[in-house]
Amino acid sequence: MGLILQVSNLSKSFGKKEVLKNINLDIQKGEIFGIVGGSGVGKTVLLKTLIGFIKPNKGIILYENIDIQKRLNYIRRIFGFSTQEHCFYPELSVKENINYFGKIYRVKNNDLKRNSEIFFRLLELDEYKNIIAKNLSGGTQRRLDIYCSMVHSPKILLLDEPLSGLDPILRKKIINILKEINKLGITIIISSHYLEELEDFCSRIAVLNKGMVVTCDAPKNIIDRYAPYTIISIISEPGNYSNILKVLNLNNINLINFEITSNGLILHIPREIDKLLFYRILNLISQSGETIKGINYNLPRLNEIFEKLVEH
Amino acid sequence: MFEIFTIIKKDFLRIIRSKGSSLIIIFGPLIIMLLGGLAFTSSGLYGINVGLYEGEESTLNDVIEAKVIEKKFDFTLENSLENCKSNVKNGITNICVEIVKREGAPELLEQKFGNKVIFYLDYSNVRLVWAITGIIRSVVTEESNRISRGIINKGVKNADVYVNYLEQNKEKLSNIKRQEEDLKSKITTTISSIEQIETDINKIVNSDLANINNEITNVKENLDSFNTSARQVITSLKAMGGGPQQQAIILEQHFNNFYSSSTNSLTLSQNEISNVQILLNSKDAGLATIKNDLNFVLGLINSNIVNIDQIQSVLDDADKNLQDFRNFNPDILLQPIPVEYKPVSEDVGEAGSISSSVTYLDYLLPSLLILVIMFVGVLLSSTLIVKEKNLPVYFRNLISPTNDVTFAVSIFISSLLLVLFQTSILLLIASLVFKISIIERFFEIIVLLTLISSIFVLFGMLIGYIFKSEETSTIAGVSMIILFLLFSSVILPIETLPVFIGKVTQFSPFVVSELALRKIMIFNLSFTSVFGELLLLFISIIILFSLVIAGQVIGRIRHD
Repeated sequence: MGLILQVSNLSKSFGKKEVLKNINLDIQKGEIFGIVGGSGVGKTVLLKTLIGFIKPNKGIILYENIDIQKRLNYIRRIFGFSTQEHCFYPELSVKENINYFGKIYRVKNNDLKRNSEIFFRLLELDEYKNIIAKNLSGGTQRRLDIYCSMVHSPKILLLDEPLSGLDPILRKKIINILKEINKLGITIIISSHYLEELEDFCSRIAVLNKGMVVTCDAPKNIIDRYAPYTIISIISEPGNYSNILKVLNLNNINLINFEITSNGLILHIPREIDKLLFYRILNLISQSGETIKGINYNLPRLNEIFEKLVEH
Repeated sequence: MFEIFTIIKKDFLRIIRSKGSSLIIIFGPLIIMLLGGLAFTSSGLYGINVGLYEGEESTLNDVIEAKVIEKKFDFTLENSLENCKSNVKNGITNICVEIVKREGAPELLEQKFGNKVIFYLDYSNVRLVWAITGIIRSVVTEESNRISRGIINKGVKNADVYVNYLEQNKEKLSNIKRQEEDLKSKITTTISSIEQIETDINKIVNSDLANINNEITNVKENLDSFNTSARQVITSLKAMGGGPQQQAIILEQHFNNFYSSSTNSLTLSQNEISNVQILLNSKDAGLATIKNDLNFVLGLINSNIVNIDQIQSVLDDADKNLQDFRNFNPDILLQPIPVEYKPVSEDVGEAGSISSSVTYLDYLLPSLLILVIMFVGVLLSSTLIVKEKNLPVYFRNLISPTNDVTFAVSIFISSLLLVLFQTSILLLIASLVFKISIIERFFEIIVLLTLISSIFVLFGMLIGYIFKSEETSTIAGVSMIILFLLFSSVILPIETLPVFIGKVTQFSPFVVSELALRKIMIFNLSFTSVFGELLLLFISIIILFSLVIAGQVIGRIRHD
């Protein structure tokens, strides 16, 4: 794959407020890189700094060993950026917007025409070409925005919260489109609150908290590191979950965590011994006079450890 | 380069697709010009209401009323001065005219001047005040002139009488002068005669009689000498004795007789001569006194003649003046130095009384055009920029490879084209509907309007880049426009401003633009006559464009 973007010791302050603190990231060519974090942790600032729009106070960003701050004009053709808000002219039609951004990104007419055949189909915008942008639905507007951000066929596409405000179906659709885009060889850097989608979608994720990278790894590795347990959700009758916990405790069952909810009992058990322990727990519950009505066995998800990560 | 056309196309599409914007761009100037044109295609004042309060019984109010009605103004007779003034304050009437008694009214040629007219004006309505004052003053002046004409005519009649009287007296004076000059001549002759007599007497006394006296003295001396010689002879003869002695004694007797009688005669003669001299001298003194007296009289006569000459000269002047006065046209006396107002432009009617072919619109069109350009240019470009800045898409433009100057130039051209489009509508309607000639200087007008539009578009762009929200940029734009209007001749002439501010105001783009456009549109002058203004506009454009780019860079930094 090879390194496409290298961020070293990146810091950025606005006045006295330090928004980014000593960020170090290596992004591989062709990967889908996720940036997660709560509101105001500096995700957008980081993305804008990566494209050279915001000048860092400290640190360096190298695109294929080129300092982006020194070659801004060149870098602007390398990056595509899709912001949280729709960055197109609502009064213009889809085609007019594409033509406009094509021109201001200095795309040759032939290239624009050739790309448009691919992207209109890929982004499912074919039938909306002549529709005024403001009359499009939310999902279509998001697709148009993504198209506008990659009208110049960037090497790296940055997407700032592209899934926000979309329903799950649209989110899935956008993710599928992004996967298709990635298949074209475009490196994608995406920031989002929707950790579940990112977990399945991104090859690697950087968790940002208070301007610092808390962790940066493949989602599975992060989960293994921060949530090395299996989650068992049990619904039983009569549902005396306190008694179940007491029985489990008396039998020295090693629980990492437990929670009694209105929907049942949730138990976190160590992953490496989970199968044996799982059957033992089921036996103990039955012996305690409970009839198991439902049972769910899951590995933890990224969003479940997110809070833990940002507290870390 | 091609990006510019794309951005301009985008700006136009955005405006056209916004129904409100496109309607206001097309119909805005249309409505302005039609309404402005209909309102100003006149050359007079209408709807003026004159309040008249008669504080003193007079026939003047009837005259003023008649004149006011003649000028097609409304007329209200007020029952009190307070009402009269109050109606002006409340805008019911435009002027209050009060007729009062004139204190210590002079009486001239049996004509009484018992009334005085006072105008009460609303000076807050500055421009209207001068227009109304001019017209109402003309109404009173007409009546005032009529009275003056009567007085002058009467004066001219009186002058005839005075001229006749003067003619008679001048003749009498001439007679006196003639007599005085005769007298002077006679006295002068007399004095000459006296002087001749004096000279003669002087000659007799000092020359003739003195010579005689001297001669006598010589004779006497000779006689004495002879006597001495004779005595010696006699003595010698006596000494000889005898006959000679006898002869000597006889001779001596005769000689003594002769000598004494001669000496006595001579002495007497000398005494007589002295007496004559004394007598003549006393006569001479008498003559001198007479001569002095005559000279004194002569002096008086000369003085009289000089006085008479002076009187005659004064009378001649008076006579000439009265003759001139008698021949005077009363109108010349009413206005000894005729004043005439003429327009500096030959193509239009007289400014004082605008001809029927020229309307206020002809004069107003340059200002109207600049006002529209200023409002549209400043507000349109600032709104375009602020709206764009507040769109999320602005960020995509900022991160594109197209540089800031290209965006600035594109917005400038878009706004400029829109302003020129609106200005063209104004010109088209002015030309087609209101028949204002713009063809003659069409090229100059278009070039100048492009420069003027550029300036105000750049001002708007500067505001757009400096301010963040549409509201603040609109307020800033309107404030800027108000400042331009305030420091121009639109509200009050800039000549009314303090010297320093007035000088600074002369560099205001609005003032410079208005001056240049007026020169070309009203006075039909060429570009060479507006070279200074063009240079100023060019310099302003360069400075403003630099500021716009600086503002854009600052805006980009703030956007970060």
